[in-house]
Amino acid sequence: MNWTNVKRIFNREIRDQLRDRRTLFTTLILPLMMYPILGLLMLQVAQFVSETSSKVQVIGRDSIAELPELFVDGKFTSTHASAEAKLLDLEFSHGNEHSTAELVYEHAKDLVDADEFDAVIVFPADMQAYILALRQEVMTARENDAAAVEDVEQVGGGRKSNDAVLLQGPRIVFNSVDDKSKIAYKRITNVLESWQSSIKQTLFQAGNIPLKIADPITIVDRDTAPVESRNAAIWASIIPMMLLMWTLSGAFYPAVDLCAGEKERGTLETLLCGPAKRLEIVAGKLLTIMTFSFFTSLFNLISIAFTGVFLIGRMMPEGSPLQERLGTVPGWSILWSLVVLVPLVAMFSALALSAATFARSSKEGQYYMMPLLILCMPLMMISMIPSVELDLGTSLIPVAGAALLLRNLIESQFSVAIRFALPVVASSLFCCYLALRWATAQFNSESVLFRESEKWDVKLWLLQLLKTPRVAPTAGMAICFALFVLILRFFANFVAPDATNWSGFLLNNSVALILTVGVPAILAAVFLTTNLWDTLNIRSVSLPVLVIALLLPFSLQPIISWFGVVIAEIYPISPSMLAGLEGLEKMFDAAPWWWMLLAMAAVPAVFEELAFRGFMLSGLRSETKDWTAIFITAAFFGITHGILQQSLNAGMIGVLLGYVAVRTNSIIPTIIIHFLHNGLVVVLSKFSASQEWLQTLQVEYAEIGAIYSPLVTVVATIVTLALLFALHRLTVVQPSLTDTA
Amino acid sequence: MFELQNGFVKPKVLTVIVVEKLEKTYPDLQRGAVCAVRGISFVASPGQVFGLLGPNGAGKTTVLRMLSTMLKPTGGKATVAGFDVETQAEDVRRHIGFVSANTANYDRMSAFEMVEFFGQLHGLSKDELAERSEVVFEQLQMNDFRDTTCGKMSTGMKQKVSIARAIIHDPPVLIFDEATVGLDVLVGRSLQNTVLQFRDQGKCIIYSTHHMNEAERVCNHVAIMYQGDILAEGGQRELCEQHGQHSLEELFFALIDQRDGQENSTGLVAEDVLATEQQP
Repeated sequence: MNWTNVKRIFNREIRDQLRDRRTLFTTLILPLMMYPILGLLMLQVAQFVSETSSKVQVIGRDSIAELPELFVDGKFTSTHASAEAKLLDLEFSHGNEHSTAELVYEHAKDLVDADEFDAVIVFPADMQAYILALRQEVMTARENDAAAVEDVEQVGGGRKSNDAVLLQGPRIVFNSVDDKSKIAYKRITNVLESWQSSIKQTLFQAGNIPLKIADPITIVDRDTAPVESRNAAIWASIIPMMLLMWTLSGAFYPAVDLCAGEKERGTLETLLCGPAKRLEIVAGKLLTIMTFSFFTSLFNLISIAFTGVFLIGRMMPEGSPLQERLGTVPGWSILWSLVVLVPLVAMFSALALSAATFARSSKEGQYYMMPLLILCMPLMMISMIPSVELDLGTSLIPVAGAALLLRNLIESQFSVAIRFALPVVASSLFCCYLALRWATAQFNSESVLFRESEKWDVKLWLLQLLKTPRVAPTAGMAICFALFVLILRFFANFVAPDATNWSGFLLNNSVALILTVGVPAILAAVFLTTNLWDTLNIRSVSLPVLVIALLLPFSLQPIISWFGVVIAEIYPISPSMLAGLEGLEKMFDAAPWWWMLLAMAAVPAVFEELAFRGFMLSGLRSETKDWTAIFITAAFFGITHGILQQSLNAGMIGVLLGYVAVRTNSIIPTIIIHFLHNGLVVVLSKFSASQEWLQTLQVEYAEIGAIYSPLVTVVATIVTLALLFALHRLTVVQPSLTDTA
Repeated sequence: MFELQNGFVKPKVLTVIVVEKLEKTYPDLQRGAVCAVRGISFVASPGQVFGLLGPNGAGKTTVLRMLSTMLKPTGGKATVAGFDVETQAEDVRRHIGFVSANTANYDRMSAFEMVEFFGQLHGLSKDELAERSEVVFEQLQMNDFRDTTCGKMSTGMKQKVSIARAIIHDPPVLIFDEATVGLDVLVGRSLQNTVLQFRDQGKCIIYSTHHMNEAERVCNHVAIMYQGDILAEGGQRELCEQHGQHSLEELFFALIDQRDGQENSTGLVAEDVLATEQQP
């Protein structure tokens, strides 16, 4: 690769993009303006909420005249009213026009519902009398000395239980769905609580009891989170998602113009017949997209920090109620996020480049933005789920790991962030590598680069598909088939009746597998291709290959069980799932072993191999490299297993099965391996406890149970490698079906 | 036989383009495999304007794209300036200039910037670039809109820029793919004159068009393409005499009628005709 050419192309693209006002606006100017505007808006809303006065009607003010003073000049007294309570507009009414207390409450409810008042306070007519009586009784008790406290309780408790409704004290009528009403309620409660304690005080004084008896113990809490983290919590959950979305769109807008746009205008053709290599063109364009995406995220960060430090920070003094509501907006420390964003910028840029290259026109390119966003969205939103934390498992998930790391950085939890920065960056870079390979492949594909004249006609295409069957399925058919199987399996979960015993469970499983995986594979092969056996990869194999297929599952067993341990360490099985698995195991205690062998080993072995190593692998091999086909097949094979831990395990076995299928050009060995592998798991789980010789090979491991001792595993690994080597020597990879045709 | 010029080997050969049984089949989702070019052969020499004539969908653009290494042939062989289009693609691209129907300029760049960018990509030094661009701008009379951005230009101006960036590195081979489409009569005429100038400079020019009178004026050698085949090839006058026709246009229709007649009798399906119409 000639880097001078890359630089020339990069310089030109940058210059070109900088002259495009639309790109400049969406990627650079909009993020700069957005956060201050958003910040001001939030501040405005918060201020509005905290500064608008609430309209409150007070009914029955007269009935508390002899109690500690609550109102002065039509307002709450300053002893009880906090700063916020000054925003309460009080209006007084007697409530005499209603004959019963219930009617007064009805009237109050109507007032709030009709929005005439935000809240209504009702003081019951006999409340004062009750308190005064109470006070009298306390004083009498004090004179009688001895049983003072007891009596008080008797008096209060006795009357309370008789007519509880009337003696609850002041009642606040409000509507919790209405924000203004809720705020009014909160303000009133603060005042009334203060007033309540002053009534309490007078009563205690009357009885000459020390006030502290009222609250003999105080509960003190201590939050271990640093102050910065606590305050940043709201922002830490929102900002990562916004940043990631901007990084993606910052990559996408220029990408569409650079690839789809150039195609549309015909300039790509000019560039392609120029002296630069395709790889140089890809590199130049990718660097341009990365630059824009990087600056978009940098500008976002600067804008956030600026908003936090200068706008909100200045207008929202430390410790004010506003700050309590909004938390501290992260300051300049947020620039640390760039460490995480750089590998993501690379990944998103490569993804955007691929998608945009595929598009025929800028308009079509824009259409691909939404699906890409929707695919990434759930991963980006992970930072908003409080219970998901950054650990080794989550840090390895692309995008999601980065979002969580960003959250930790914004919360200033640097120690956690540093621990998992490496896996996050590594997984992002790996995805970036894959996206890059995809992008380069796109740029080398004639059918992608010169797609402009192809007219898509669904009817014509379907007719072609069914009328002229081909020798082998295409890669597109293989992928569609796999997606179809996934959807079928998803719905099968709902349709299948709940199994209560082992026979029902096994029957359900087998029927579902045959209907959702096996039958579609056979039907697809029959209708879409000319040769059923070749498409499904059913060919005889030599005796030595069969022997290897018979031995491999045994040597694989220890390796796979260790792999299971590693997976369980990274992604621990949840307790509820463990309980479920135990329930299943108990259910199987009653099942005869041959039944289980049929349903859990034979049926999956035959039908999953027909579908995955049969139809899907043939299809993918006809258009991609063998290893690409193997990995894609294994990935789908894994995903169909549903549970994450199982999927990873199946994915690994899928790679091996794919390799064997490609080497031997047949699924017969893979059916044998698949059957024996599943069969071993079934048999071992049923009989291992009673076999002493088996236990000598194993060691106990935490909750997972028995796994093979390291020595056995090392020996097994050597044997496995030897078997694979033998297989490699014995076989010659046959060209895919379309190549031979 | 070779001499060094501008840092790369420049062959001095009589035939600059040699095409042997060139074939292009590409997969199509709707129609299966589509054969756009069916094993054609021809040679072209310096100082020659080789006209590739044919209706839309005859496979002209596919041939030109293979010659300029944008598409890889699925069969046969082609060399341009002594380099194989498949194995020495980069060398081929250094020796050609490609001008297409859609003027293909960057709208936000000026004429000079366009020419400068492609000159740089071709590895011209600053001095060489200054010298060449002066010659080119003078020859194509582009000095008036040297600093105008392409987005604000008329189609004629754009096509001039397009030619300028194609000849900045002084290539021995020039490929014009329906370059006059969309140009008005006057501008089209001046483009044709430019092509003749290049011919007189000793360049080998492949000129594809479906306008017969244009071909009559510009080309001294023509190949008539239809459905991926070359139906006839040779000097204009010889061809007309050979087939007893008066003009290129009559010759063209006569050949096509003849071909369609053959097909109907050999039972080639109509879908096949449709297929060649939509190739890339």
